[in-house]
Amino acid sequence: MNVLYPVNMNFTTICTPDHPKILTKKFHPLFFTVVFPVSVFFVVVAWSPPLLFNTLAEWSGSYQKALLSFVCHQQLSRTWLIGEVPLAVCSRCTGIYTGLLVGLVIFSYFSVWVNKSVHMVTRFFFVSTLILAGDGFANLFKIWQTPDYLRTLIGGFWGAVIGIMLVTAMVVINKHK
Amino acid sequence: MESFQKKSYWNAAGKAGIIFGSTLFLISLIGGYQTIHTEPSGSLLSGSIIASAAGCLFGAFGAVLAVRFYINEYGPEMNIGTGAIIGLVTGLFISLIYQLLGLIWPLIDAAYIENLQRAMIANIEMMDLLPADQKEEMVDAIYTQMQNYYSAGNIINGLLLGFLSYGLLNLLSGLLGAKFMGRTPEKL
Repeated sequence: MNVLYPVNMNFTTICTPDHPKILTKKFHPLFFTVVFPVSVFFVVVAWSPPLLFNTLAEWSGSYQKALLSFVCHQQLSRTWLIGEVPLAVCSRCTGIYTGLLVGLVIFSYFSVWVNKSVHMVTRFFFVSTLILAGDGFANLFKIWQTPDYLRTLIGGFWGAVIGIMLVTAMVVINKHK
Repeated sequence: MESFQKKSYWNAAGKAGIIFGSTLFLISLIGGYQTIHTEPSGSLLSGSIIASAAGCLFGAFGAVLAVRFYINEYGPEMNIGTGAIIGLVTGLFISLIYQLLGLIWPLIDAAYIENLQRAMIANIEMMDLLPADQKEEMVDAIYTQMQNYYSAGNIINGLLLGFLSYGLLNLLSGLLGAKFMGRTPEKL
């Protein structure tokens, strides 16, 4: 009996001309119970202040700001504003959390192909980390100043790559004739 | 008779938590002192630029080190669920160490909280674009927060928020650490 351990929470069968064998994928239960809810949680917390507050003072005392202050500098000069209220994280972190969720959603659909190229995923991770860290340190040492939209894009790229890695970790691919 | 070794992840998570919690505290301390010793510019927390650049998201990867410690201790056999739990516990330790050191430091430098409060308020007062009533509200919020620095509510609040943010992010990084550094039993 395999009733108590619901491994086959999402079971998809794929067969393409390139892959004549039937490929089945199943997501680890942690994908739906932990990974996806956690990603949604961070995106909602990051984006919610402009929807809930009207002033900077309200933002300053909000739980969203307090919660994410542990992982982001939240400098106003580097944070997106909607109306007059900033998001709970800086432009780069906004990209990271949003990119993570978008990456999870998109690449969970293409997970069979993602899983077949794990070596490429790790290369993507190193390249995106290099870009993220390089840009961060260049800004820190005032070699150049990256505009906010580019910070968000760089963060989004890195977040999406982490999303691909999480999908890779969460999917088990089986091959059947 | 087959020997049975109980694999406890507390040791690995504890060691990584101490290393990352202490490092994060050190980074935030550098940022704090830079805020204190920088002329107010009107940018919120402008002096903490080093802390912000180095500390931003750094704490989310304590679990990777914890998984490495676990593998060094017990070998690579682990599933991703174990990695997730190690990450969650590492986040708990990071939050605990960070808060603990944050409570101890003002006992070493008694003027730290007051100086930091003064510098932060001075920064807010330099914000030209901010309406006067909003400035006042923000100054009040900082003043109240600093005055209640040692209150039980403030400490519990910090612990819970720290555990939530570090715990959840380390859960994800622990999971990745287990996937990419560990081996599932059937692969061994």
